Amino acid sequence: MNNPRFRLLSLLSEACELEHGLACSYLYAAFSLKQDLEDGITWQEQQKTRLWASQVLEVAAEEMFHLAQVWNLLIAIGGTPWYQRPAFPQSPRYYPLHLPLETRPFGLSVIERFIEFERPEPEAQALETLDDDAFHTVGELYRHIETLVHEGGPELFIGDPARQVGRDLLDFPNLIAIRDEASALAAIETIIEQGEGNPGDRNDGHDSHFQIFQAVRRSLLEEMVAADRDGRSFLPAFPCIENPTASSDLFAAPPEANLIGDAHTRELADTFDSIYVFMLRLLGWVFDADVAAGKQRAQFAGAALRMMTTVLKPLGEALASLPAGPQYENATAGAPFGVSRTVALPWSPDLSRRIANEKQSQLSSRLAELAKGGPAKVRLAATHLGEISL
Amino acid sequence: MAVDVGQFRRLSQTLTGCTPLSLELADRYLDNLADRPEAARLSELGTRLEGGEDPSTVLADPELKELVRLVLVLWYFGLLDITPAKALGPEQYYSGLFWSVVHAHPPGLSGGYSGYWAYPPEN
Amino acid sequence: MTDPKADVVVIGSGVCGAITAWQLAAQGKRVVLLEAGTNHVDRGHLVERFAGSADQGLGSPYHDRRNDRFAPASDTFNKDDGSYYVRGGPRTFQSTYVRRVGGTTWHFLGNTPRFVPNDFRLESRYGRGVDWPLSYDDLEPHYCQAEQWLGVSGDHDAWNVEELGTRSRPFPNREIWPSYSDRLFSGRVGDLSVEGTRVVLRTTPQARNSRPYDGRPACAGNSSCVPLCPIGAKYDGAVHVAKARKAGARLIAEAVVTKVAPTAERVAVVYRHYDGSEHTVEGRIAVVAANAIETPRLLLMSNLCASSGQLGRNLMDHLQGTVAAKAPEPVFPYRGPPTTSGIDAFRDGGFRREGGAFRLSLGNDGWGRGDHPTDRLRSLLDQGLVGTALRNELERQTVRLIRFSYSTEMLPRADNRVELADEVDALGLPRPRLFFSVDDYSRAAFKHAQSVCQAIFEAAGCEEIHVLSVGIDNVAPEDQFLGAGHISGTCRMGADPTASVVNADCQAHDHERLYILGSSVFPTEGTANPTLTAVALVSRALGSITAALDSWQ
Repeated sequence: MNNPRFRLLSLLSEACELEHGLACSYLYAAFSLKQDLEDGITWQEQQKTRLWASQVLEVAAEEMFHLAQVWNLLIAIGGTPWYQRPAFPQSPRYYPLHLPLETRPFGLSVIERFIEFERPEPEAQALETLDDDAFHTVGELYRHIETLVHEGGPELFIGDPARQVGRDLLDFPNLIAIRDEASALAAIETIIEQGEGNPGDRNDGHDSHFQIFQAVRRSLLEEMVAADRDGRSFLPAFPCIENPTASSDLFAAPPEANLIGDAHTRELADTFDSIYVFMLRLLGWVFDADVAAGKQRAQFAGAALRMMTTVLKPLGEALASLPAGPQYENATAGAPFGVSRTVALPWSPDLSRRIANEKQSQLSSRLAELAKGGPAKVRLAATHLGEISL
Repeated sequence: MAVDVGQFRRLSQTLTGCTPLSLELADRYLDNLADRPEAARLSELGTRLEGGEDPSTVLADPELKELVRLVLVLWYFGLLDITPAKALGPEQYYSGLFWSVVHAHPPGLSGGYSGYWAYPPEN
Repeated sequence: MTDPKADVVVIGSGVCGAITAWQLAAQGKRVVLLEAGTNHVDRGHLVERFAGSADQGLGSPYHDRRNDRFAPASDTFNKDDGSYYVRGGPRTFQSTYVRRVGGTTWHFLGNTPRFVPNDFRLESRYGRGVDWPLSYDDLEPHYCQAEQWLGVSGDHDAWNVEELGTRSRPFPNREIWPSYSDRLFSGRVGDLSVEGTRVVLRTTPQARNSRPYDGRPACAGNSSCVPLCPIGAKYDGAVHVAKARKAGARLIAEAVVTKVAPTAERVAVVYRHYDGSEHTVEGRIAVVAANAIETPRLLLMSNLCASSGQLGRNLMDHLQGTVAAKAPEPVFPYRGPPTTSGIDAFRDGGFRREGGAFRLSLGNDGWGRGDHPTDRLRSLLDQGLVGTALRNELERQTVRLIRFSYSTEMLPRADNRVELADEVDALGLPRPRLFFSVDDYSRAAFKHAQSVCQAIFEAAGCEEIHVLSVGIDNVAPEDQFLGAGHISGTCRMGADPTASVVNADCQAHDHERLYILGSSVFPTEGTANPTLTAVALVSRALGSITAALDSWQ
């Protein structure tokens, strides 16, 4: 019984959840930063917060790339894209990871936790965990996957590479189709390098996530020390609550999550989640569609990208500045990234396009309604959502 | 000059077509205008605009047009539009309205994340 | 005061001097790196000065009273006395540089394409100019090295074609994201040919991180590359000055070199601090990397490299202009680097027999630095617009602004040159007197570039296509140009010592202990921004410098 296919499908799905969860964690932190002078920061602070936001978003974008790459891997060995993930906050027992995933606003302890997520695993410990499936870092999980890929050999690769997604559809220049063991291992090595980096040197100059977060931490500490020395207060982020949820439905959020109390904010947060899930469904369809549906794949992929960059980003940032509710005093909310019960789009191109259009229309009206009265970023998000054509 | 910060802000909002404007900046810009001869007619300008007059009719008066130009360039670019133009400081530069009106950002400030320029603007 | 213990004295801490100092120090050589300008390179302060200036101009971050006074450059010299350059005639030389630790890469755009193969053999191919004493193939591995050092981001597959020069290694970083505007434009001119040449929009190789690299962040689109990157995603020479010092090189800033004196055994380098005190440092070898104006100036002051008569001659710059237009749909300028893509199809061709080649950059910066949004606002006000109507019209007009910047090649000419003027600077050193003029080869290039841009914009459905006026008084429209800041040629390289200043290893023909690095050694200038080629030559010259140090005392 040396067919590791199903073990691999399971582990790859876990990897999906991890990359996806990390991406959302990083996005939440980036969205919480004050990036406009109107948020009450000085121009010097703005230089810093925009730089930190871009650095954290850089890492988040690479986790999304990793997610896309793992989706290709899944398809290559006979699976389909997995876009579910556990709700925030995750129980520490959910994965063997000793650091549970949560959504928390930008700050020193949060950056330090991010550093721990990406810390390279010393070689000795990696070998130790090969016997059981427990993994303590993301890197370990991938190394385990590599071992199983190697064990499985050529019979593993039964999926059609044409159904996978490349850089022509999504803006991930390193996204490759997986055809065989060599390409599978190359893809996984890229993921590991980008996260932990290679031991010793700097990956030919390419900074790993670990190094990027260390740079952010160093810069943040410098600003904190300077502010302390000058006797001024330095609050680079909004006072967002942790692990906000727009829903009391336990599927969407565990009891430890913080239900947003302000009605308007909660509705906006719920709309954010609906758009976010809709975007995932569009992407999921793109990754498993027929080659013949090329035009619609491009349409859906482009729409998903625009949804991310011109709708979810301003909406997520707006939520970070809106009141969380009286029970949280002066705290603000944040984007819940709640994945509710949802089904994939139907595989028929005509049907899925119809459903997508109906959904987009419904979300667009809802957001436009909520946007009346501002803030500006919500109005912008609503305009952009209305402009996306499917 | 007899125009207070609140009134100055309101007339600035009408003239620039942008709302809301920062009260703190309005205070500073009012200060910057204090020594300008054109500023003597600020109160009159404010009253006329608050009375519902179409801002473009104000431009028929050359002196008022000069005042309007000063107000516009202050808010849009953070500059005092005299000859040569006078910079007022980085805070004012980065507060310039022009850049967000054209869906961009002041040069020297990141637009948000690496690669944002590949997509249509979010702002 | 003398310190006889250095192996190499490097004059000039720009990219070429800094990399040279770093590489030699890393080999264990004792290196002294001299810089005329200041070492005040705190990025936060530079941003503050930039943002606090009235125009965010080229020199705006770098004005410093002492630096401007004692290590002047043309846009910082005391304006009351006139420009730093003395004009010998007939045209004003328009390009300038930064005299400060790190050099001119502080304000360079960051585009780093290679020369194309025929750029090295303009004479044998097209009967114009001169040939280099080396070929593209000779320099190719050094181009790869230069790209590694600078962290160039580029698309290997798109650039690995024969007419642009094949590549033996991928870029260290993948290409910078093409802009939304580039993508729209590509869509519109996809299959276009102009004059039988296919117009292909390619992402421009640039020394700008597409991803965090070498401890520096990825480009976050601050759009102020010229004159300053606030976050260090764009390469600047201070990166390698820091590495050089870490490797043991000794940096002496605010040290204006006044004389270089090679003997059989040593080179003595005399410099002056701003307080007027004079010092000497000696090395076994001296490297002058002080840019293509200051290098010949120093060598002329030192009475060196005189035998060929070419020192200071063949002064070149890329002569640029803009063809502006309004795009058929919003392209949203002022976002991302000022340019991310360009057209390289006219960098070579049979037409080079009659007129200069040119490179086109598609701008992400509206109508460029010569077009001021303040002017547009004032003009709308003059048209009677104010309030929401003005705001909407300002937006409507601005979001469709698009332009090509064309950068043309000029020929090396003996009468275009740097000499020493009688006028002196604050340290009593003769200022540079520049002789510069435009010829028919350049005029043909301007016309050619303009007509190609016109054709492309027309094919893309643009309106209001026009050549942007540069606004130089008393110069005919067909002779108007802007200087690119790509100064080169004044210490030309060649095999024949009677016709050139340095050999193919950048060693002075007249003085074996003297090396000259930087774009001053270019015999012709091609159409590429000079930095990458200058650094590739450094990579190549290091072999000769190291061998010389190892074999001599």
